[in-house]
Amino acid sequence: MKKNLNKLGVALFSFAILSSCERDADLSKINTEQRLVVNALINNRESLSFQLTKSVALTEENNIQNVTNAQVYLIDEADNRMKLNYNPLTERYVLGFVPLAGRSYSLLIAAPGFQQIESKTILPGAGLSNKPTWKDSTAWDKDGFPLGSLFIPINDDASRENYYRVSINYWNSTSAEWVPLKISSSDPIIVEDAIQNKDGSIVINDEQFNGKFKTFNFQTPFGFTGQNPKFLIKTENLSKEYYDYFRSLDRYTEASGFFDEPTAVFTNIRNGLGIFAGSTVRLDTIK
Amino acid sequence: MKLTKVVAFSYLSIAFLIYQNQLKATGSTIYGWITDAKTGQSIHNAVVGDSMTYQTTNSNKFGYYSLTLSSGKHKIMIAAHGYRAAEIKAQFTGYNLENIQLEPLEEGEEDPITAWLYALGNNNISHIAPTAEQIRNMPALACEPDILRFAQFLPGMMGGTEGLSGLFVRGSNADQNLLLMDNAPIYGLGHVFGVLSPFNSEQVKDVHLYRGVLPARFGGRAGGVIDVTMNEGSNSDFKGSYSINLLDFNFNFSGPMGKKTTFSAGIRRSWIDLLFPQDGENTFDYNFHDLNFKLFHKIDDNSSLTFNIYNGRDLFALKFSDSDKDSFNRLINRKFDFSTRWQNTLTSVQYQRKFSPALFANFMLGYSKFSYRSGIKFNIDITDTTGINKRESSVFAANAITDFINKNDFEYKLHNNSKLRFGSEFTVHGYKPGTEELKGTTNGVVSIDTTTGVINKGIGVESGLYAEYEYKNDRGLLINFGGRIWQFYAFEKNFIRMEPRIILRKILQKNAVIRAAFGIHNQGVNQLSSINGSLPRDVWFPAGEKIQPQQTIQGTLGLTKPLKNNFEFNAEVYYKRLKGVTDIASLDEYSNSPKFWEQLVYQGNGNAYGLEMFVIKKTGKITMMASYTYSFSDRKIEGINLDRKYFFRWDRRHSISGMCHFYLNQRTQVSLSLVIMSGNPVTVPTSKYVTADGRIVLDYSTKNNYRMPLYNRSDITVTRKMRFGSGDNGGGQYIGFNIYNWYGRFNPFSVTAVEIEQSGGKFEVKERALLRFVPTGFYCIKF
Repeated sequence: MKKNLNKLGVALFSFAILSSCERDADLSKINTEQRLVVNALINNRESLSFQLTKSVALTEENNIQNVTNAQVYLIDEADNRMKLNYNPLTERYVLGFVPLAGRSYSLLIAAPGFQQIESKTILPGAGLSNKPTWKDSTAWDKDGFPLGSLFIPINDDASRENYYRVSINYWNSTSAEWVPLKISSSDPIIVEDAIQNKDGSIVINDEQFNGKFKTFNFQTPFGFTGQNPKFLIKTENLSKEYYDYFRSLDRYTEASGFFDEPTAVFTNIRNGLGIFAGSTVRLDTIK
Repeated sequence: MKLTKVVAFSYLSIAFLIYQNQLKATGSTIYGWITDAKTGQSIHNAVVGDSMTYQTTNSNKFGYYSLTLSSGKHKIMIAAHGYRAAEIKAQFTGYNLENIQLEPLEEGEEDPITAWLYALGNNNISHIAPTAEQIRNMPALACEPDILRFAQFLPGMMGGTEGLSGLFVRGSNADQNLLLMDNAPIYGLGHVFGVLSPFNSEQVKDVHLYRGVLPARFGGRAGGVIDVTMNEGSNSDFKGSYSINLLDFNFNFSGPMGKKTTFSAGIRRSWIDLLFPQDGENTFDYNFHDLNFKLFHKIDDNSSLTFNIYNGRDLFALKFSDSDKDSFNRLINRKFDFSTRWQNTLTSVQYQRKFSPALFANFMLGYSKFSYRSGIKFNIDITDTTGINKRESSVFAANAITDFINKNDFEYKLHNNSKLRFGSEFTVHGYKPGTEELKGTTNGVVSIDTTTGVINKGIGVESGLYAEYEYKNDRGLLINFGGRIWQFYAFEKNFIRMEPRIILRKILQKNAVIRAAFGIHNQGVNQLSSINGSLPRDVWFPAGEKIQPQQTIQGTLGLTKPLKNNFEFNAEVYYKRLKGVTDIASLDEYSNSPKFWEQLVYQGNGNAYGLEMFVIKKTGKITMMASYTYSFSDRKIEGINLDRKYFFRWDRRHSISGMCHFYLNQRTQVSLSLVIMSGNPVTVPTSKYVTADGRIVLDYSTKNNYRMPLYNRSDITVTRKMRFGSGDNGGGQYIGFNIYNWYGRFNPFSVTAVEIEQSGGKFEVKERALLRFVPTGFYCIKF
């Protein structure tokens, strides 16, 4: 009897599920206008260079389509127009100019077949931070192996909202290159609020340590113990649009459940897509 | 201090008005209680009217009525849905106590006087009061009738995601609805992730659904009201029922406890989990229950006491374990124990007292709590040459909202033609919008024990002071003019707003009634939930510095006309302005940082307007209702849809729905329903592009840009009485089946972009449908 009831329950449940199905949506009902896509994350350490592409139809194979014939200008606070040229080798628009911390810049792009696009950003003033340090064997992982700790101090400026991006690379002596290290931390601010990027870096805001001196403790995995490792730490002070962009990318990735509304990735490009945002960079190497 | 003065001044003014009018009172007043002749239960919203003039009144929630007329001979008619109309012919002078018992209609019986009098005498606007029998007879998914899914068939009340009991009233969000169970608010979404509401239909005595301008006695929400009164039990005999369907079994029992007390109790529980053993290390469990208990005690002829308690809970649990050896030859045993539970607990005590024929009061103390807890325990034992290392860790997320409520409602007959309702409402909200407990031990030594989100716990206070002045004249005009002072405090931010409410009614010649209303409603508590549907994890949070209270401003114009053969026709047009309405750009795994909801919620404005036409026949061999709704609703919220206007997610231009119940023969009943609606908008990507970190993302920047195809569904339930019970209480055995979406219509509930495998990055957009042709059955015994 019990087995029969089980079978009945499973059969009815399966029937309801199996009776569900799917079909193609009629995409002719939506407006699929192509737009220019700017991916310009600029900072005070590198000369200006970014990729300009266009959005493509969902049904197309080629996801990345560069726009090579655009007129691209960077305009500074004094209204000086600097023209960027397309470099076919790097497939980027380039300008031999390094933006300055604390200054704002505008971007103006015109390309045949597209609406003219505009955007504006600021490179925040340099943050006040001390040099990071590393200590060996400060904790244990879940399998009982020793971990190290990287201490990264941030002295937050109370006069404004601040946003930070922290990236850690370690030196791989075998391949003789810097390799990104995925950051982990038990600090509640990191656990609760940090945005984990695809490249292993994290992005945080200063809401919980506004105007304070805060030292973050990041765990380095088993394997560095007793090895005299070398780390490259990149601490960036981000503009708000930089933060909003990464926050929306994070939400875009997370919002995959049925009840989640699809997330639009943040853009500050008028009439286009993508991002034009600035950051001020500090680099530290520790051994 | 300022509010206290306003409250004190208002009460003094009302007291002065009462005193002044007592001096002026003339004519005769008839008053008393209207009850069911068989069970003794009070009848809410019965119409008491003088056949010579247009003077009418409605019984209140406790069956009490009071009608003042000129002294002399009158014929008073009394009507309520589901009952035979009664009349009293007498000479009235001074105060006249007339307790009235109404005989319930037999199965299939109809009474033309009731339908006619009810259509003319109902003073509410945008209000529908289906009988409990109508709800129980609806063709229901899984043979489980449900109030909220019944409401989805009514004009202006749209359902959300297919199969769920979400309700979107005239373009409002779901969290703008006020759900009341015996006068206490209920927060939780119900069972099986929203398939069933918390209301066990077998325990429901009566239901009042308000979709427009609310009388001033209702406050705290900016949308509709679902006001449910639970069963009190019969004072003459014991009654019960036992039923089982695909989802649950349901046992209910009610009756007298002595001469003055009655009770009603019910348990509804899922049963499928009982068939599977829950012992062992690998188990799966899902179950839910509802427990209802209500006591009614008549203290004396002037006062009574009701006590109601409810608990509803869902539990989902999964346990499994595994073991293996790692590369160091260590034996590793792992155990996972995942559980999610959410529950509503609610209790209320109400004391009703008639102080004089002209003054009636109800005092209520209530408690309502919704809580949610979900998490995982993870144990790992590592056995190596040194022995066994034990590590235990757990992470649990929780949220809750707890209300302590006090309501004091008064009705005072001022004069021949006027009545005053006034009262106060005071609620202490306890918020726990989200906490996370993280614990870990290694060989019994605590390595981590921390709880985040505690900072968001808080207490808020919401209060309201209302007054409604109701004036009627002999030419069928009724003015209900009033307002509410609404106050809301949370997180050191205080809001005080005025809420004027006015309802006009005029009975025209040829028995038609026109109604008009205007009102403002405010709301301080908000739910962080997806517009697609609520989940138990969706937290309730208060308005504060960044999130302003939501507000709706609404105007309505309506016409009611009783038709031949006991049909009633209603038509209404409305316009509603929504201010501070919330939306979310997404709902990711939110953190518990201070006031985290402020980062997720966007606020803006919206508009909703429409035309609703409705025909209903509540009694007779064939009962039915049918409606047509034309509606429009949109939003404009900075930060969403490139700051441009967009359609509300549940905006549907046209909607036709109908439900009908009839007897094929003495034993067999059939219920049929039909819904045809324009598709609702959803967000689909318009293109794809590469991001700064090299990902390919879809462009969702235009919101709700794709209109779903026409929704079209019909359900059927057939019930056969197997064996007749003894007596006239409808006892017997019943068996039946339901087919949800019996003609298997493909009704998409979601549209998603999916990457085609091995296509070089091509995407396709798929419409997905669920619940095509779902047959279920039930068995029921009534005694």
